[in-house]
Amino acid sequence: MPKNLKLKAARAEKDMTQAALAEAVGVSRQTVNAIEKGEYNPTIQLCRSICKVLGKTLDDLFWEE
Amino acid sequence: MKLDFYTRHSQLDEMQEQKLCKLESRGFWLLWWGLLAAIIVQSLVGQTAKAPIGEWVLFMLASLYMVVECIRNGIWDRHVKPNLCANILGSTVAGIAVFVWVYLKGRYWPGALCAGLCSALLCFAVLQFTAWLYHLRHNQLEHSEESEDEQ
Repeated sequence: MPKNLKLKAARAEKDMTQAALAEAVGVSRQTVNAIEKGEYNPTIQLCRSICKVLGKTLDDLFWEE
Repeated sequence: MKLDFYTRHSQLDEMQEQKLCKLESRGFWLLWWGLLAAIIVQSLVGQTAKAPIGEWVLFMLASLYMVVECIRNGIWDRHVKPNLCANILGSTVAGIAVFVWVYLKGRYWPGALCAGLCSALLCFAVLQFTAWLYHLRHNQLEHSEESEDEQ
């Protein structure tokens, strides 16, 4: 799985750390880190939570061209 | 004194839950194969037939649980298909394993051959029966009617 750079960029845009995003969506920092590194494929519920917190759509963060 | 070491809600998120499931699965198979190896070694080094009875009961219960739950959920195996060819191959391997085990115990090949053949036939019958049950359950799950919400 490729790295999710869009998620990393969106998080940086909001000036959030991985720990802050993790806390906001109710998961551990290691999970956010694994998603950004492309090591973990999150469920649709978690994807939606992340999108809500970062103010993005699913396409913005999780759609691969 | 306040007891604060236990919480009813899971402390794990979805990724940790998946990892824990994988670890538990590996632990189960490690125990399963370890138990089987222990039973075989005990019988080969000359323990009496009643010695590993506890291990056998535990081993059979765990195996039975896996078979029943897998069939109930319409699951057979990740890689092997439940067809005649696979069942013949599986029961042949089981028969050979029993032949080797009995031969190593008694050094009497006609008896070992008989035990191996009987085991292979029994294993084949059980595999065919469980495969039939699997197909029944799988078809039932695949062709269940959609709920009204989904239509």
